[in-house]
Amino acid sequence: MSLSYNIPFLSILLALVSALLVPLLRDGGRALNLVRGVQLAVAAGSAYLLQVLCQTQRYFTFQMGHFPAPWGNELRAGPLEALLALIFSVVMLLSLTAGARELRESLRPEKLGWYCLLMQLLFGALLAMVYTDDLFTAYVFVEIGAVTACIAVAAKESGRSIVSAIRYLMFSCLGSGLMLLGISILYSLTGQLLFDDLETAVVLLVTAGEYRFPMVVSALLLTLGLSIKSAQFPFHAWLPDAHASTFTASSAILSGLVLKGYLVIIFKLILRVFGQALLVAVCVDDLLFLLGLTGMLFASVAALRQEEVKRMIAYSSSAQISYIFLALGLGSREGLVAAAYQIVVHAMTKSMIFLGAGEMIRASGGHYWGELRGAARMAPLGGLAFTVGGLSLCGLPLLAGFSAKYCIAGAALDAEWQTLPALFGLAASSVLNAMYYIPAILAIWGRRRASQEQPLVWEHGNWMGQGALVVLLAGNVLLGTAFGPVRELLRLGVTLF
Amino acid sequence: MKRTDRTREGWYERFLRWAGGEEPDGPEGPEDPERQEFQEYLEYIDAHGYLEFGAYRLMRWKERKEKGLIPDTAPAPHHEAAKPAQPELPKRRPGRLRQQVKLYRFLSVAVTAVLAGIFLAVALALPTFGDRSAPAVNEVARRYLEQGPEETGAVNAVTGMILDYRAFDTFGESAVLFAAAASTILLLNNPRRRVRTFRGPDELTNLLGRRLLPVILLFGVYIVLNGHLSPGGGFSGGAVLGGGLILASLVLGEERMEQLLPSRRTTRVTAVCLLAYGVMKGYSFFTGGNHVGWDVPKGTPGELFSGGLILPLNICVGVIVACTMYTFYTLFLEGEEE
Repeated sequence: MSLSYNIPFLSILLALVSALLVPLLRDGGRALNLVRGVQLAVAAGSAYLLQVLCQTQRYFTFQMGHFPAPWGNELRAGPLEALLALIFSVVMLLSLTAGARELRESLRPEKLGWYCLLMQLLFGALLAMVYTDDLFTAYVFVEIGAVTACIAVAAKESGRSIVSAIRYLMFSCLGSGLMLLGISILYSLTGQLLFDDLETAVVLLVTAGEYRFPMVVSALLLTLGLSIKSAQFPFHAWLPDAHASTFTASSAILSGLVLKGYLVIIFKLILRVFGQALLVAVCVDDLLFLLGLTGMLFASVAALRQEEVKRMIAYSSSAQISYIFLALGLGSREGLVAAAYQIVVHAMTKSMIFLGAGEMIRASGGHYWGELRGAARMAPLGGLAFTVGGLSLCGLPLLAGFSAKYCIAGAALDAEWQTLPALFGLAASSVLNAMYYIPAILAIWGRRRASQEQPLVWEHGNWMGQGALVVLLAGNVLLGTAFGPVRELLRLGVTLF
Repeated sequence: MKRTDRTREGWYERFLRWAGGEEPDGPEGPEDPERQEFQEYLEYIDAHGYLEFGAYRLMRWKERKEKGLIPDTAPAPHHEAAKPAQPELPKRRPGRLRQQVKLYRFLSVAVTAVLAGIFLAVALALPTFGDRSAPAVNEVARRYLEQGPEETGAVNAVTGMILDYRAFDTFGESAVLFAAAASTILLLNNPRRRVRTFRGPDELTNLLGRRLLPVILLFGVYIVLNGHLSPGGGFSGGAVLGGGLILASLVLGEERMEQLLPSRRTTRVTAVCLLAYGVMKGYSFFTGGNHVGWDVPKGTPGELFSGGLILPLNICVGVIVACTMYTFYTLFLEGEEE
């Protein structure tokens, strides 16, 4: 019984319990502070856990209650889980800090409290998705994620955000439904829900050659359901509106974290349940690869056509998610490491771009490119965050995005037929990224028209929001420059996953 | 909020008076930039003249009539004779969209048919229901059924499973309910809500409701309390209780129910019950996970006070479910127009 052993359990419990304390508080400002305080504590705990697990190079399971795993619930923590929990809590904290001013101004105090409550439940659900060792528990928390994420969009209560939230809800329910069907088919074939037992049962069934067809259908349903929820290319129709029409903090959380929560479950399924062997045998990996490849190109082309900054960033999110699918579809361990790298990088970068864009929109008062001309001069730190994030996604060396692309390219070199398409896709997609990010960056640093000219007002009193952007910038540069150590850490994490 | 004459008048009249330059809620200030903008917009439309319809037309007509621009004998704009001859729009406009709608219909049928075929094939390939050798009949289910009463103290195996063996999942499920209730409150709860006047239930509701209400509530409490002894438990008992609360609201009226059970209290009670669940199960997860002992005594299976934490947990879940159902009912009721 040591502290680090209890951290996964305590993180989830703290997140959920602090969310439930919110209705008992008097006003929304306190709720926001409580929620952020808990996120800070979880971040500190996860960092400590990560350090301990890297030193000991092992993973552990935590029995939830008095009954061992196939009967009771179980959590599992290794270096990768600890790293993801750390990143998730840091991004959540920074998004709620940098977006706090907008939330305070546009939500009534009692509504701010409810918003914080739902975001904290979402945070708890994401932590549970990361740490759980049980497929059904994962599904329960996917449900919490679905409800709270839709409300993160609808909370703005503009007509557009309500419509896009309803569309998001439809897609999200479809994804959950397909996932549940997949889980129930898998359960009736194996009688197990725990990832390790599932793997044993699946291997037995595959070697015996029994129930081949239902097994493949179940694998496809789970993949399909989770790809709809994580907005992989042909199913991304809900994403641009949902991410663009809401508060900046919600956009950053949705784009940076919620999509990643579902990807973590796909990750667990591929690595621990179906195993590379089964997936390669039924060509699911090729399917993922092709989806990723087309998504990278199509979403980027769609982003080129956007006239609104947040929609462009949202389409770019869809393109970046496709990188993860491409890396997963390589069907090798290195591919999984690269996918994990991209998950971490995109969580940090995309939230930073959204928050930077939010600062600029606030300063210039409009979200179309015409109105944003010269906005970076009015909100220098926001402009810098947008610039660094954009350049990072274009693949400028020493920034995080470059390292992720480098990692994916390295993994693609060992693949069979995928090498050339993957390299071509990476190159083309980087050029497309540059085609929309670089004009955007030039526009925001340009000179405003004489009619729009406003004096630069450096706003005081928002040092926490500005500090959050600085931390994200530092994190981006760190992920880009410390390529070797981070990759070693992720390799260790994937080995112990 | 007290109901005044102003709130009784329809939204449409309020809008008309606002657009006409009055303050519907009394004078707030000399300038209303939104109305100014609206007036300019109206003038713009007027200048173009092709938007002659509905509320806008009626309003312009009233305005002109007051200025004396329209003779008193002229028919009102909602009169049939006053309608300008509108050019007949072609009913079928061949276009890309219409063809895509057809394609969409065809594809949706095709996709559904393919999915239905796949699912039927899967259902045929799955192990048959009740098969002894099915993979799902394994040591997990056996232990739940054979050792459940002994290990959890609950005679009802389902309750033992959801509130003791897999209590973490149930905590998640209750949190889903709470998240749904919280989202509805965030979206629909309006402090300027209009409390509807209660006209009293009709005779049948009154007669049956008043007699059934105590029975229903008692039955709900019974199901919740006996969840570990007989079929039932927090979820089903809570649903019965929630139905009872809704019936009470129908019979007694919302204003009386708002005094008996204010909406703010319902949400607080829900949150406190979930917190209690979290704290109780947190204790049990913590002690179980760290193998320190300190178990809650199980009691004799079959008695009311047995099963360790299961009875209080069932009560918590029951209250959460009942309050969530009732909250949904009250919030969605406000949206109804008279």
